[in-house]
Amino acid sequence: MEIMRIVVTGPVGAGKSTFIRTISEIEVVDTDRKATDETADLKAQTTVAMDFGRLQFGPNVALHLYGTPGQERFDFMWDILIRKAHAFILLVGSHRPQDFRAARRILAFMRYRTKIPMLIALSHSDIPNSWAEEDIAIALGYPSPHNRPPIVRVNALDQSSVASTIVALIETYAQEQAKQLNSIGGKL
Amino acid sequence: MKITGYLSEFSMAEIFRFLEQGHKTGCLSIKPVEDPNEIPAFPLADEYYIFFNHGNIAAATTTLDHQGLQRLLEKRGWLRSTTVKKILPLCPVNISMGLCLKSQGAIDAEHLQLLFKQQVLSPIPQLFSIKEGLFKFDDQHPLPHWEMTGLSASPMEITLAGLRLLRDWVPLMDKLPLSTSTIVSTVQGKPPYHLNAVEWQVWEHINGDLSIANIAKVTNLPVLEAQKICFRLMVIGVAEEVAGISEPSTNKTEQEPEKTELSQSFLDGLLNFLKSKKG
Repeated sequence: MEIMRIVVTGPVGAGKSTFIRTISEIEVVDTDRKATDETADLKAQTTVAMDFGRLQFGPNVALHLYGTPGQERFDFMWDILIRKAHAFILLVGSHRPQDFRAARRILAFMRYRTKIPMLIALSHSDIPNSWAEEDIAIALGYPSPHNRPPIVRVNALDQSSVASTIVALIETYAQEQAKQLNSIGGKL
Repeated sequence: MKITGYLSEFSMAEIFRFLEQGHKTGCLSIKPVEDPNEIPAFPLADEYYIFFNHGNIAAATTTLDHQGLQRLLEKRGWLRSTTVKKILPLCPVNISMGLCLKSQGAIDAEHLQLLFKQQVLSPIPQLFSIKEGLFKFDDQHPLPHWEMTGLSASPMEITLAGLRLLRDWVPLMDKLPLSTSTIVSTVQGKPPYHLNAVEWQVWEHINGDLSIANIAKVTNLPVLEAQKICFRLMVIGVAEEVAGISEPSTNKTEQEPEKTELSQSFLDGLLNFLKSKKG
């Protein structure tokens, strides 16, 4: 069985669980529990271990999607999930600048552990007062447009939008893989 | 572009980093929200206006009447506002007032430096002790040439000065890096800012091997002090917190990714499948 594993990460309330539910062909296995801390101000339920979704597109081929918990106290799960991932998506709410710090921390956590391809997906871009893509990139630590990962807008409730985001990530993955192969070929 | 928010959500240090790294031009206004139960660290104005020019701080005022710099000149007894008004038409439009007066021989470079210190370098670091305030950045606000000396300051240097002066860190406590985290450098070589002795001491140990708690131990600093210094290094953009690594792993196999490469046919199949979902 050939499986691609994609991790969907990001701060609390960015839309990770929704993103996976929207595209998964199986009932998403979630570990949502009643939020009891400051997260309760944002939403009633929060992911404490992970969300799991799947897309089987042939007899022996599947895409697995893993959603991380947003809260940092569950960062041991980030570690477990990212080590097996082929690529990851950092989902950020464009309307919540107070979460950019958390997004940056998650990003640093992931980048320190792995060099796998990634992209930044911005949710809630249509909400008034949401930040522009360029400004979010700067706030996340990518001031130079020449040195930043792909950034896309996503509506986590819309299957077509979620599919486009995953397509963009897979294309990034394929480009990275081709670069690596070329670099190995060049050395031989 | 207009960006608004509260300092409790996006701190002054983070705003400054954003504006410098984004090379922004415009006006940052800060309206303090006073807590009636607390006495502020210094007398607060109703609103503060800080003007950015390509990411650097070019001027600061507490009113938008374009008279602030003239008031400073008059207060110091250097030039009357009537004299200033006679000189300004002699200069090209869009030149800062300070440079105009200097080019006409009315004041010299030292005067400009003193004015800039009084207008920007001394008051802005104090603003870091504002506990709560509404901020707004407007990139359409024209630069107030009559308020500008022609000098500018790096927001990061101002941030360092402001955070060093800060006595009450309570509003920033939830923004400090965790003592169990490690800190890694994000710049090649040394930071391009003026660090003090204790900041250099911490900087020497931020190679990703030691947790902040251990950096505190080897530098003989209280853990909270080490966290504050690491926060300073983070907000000036020279370091990044990596949470969840208290000590480096010695188990090589644990660090290696447990995954296999994907075949081109798999990727092609998956892309075709997803493209069908895009509708």
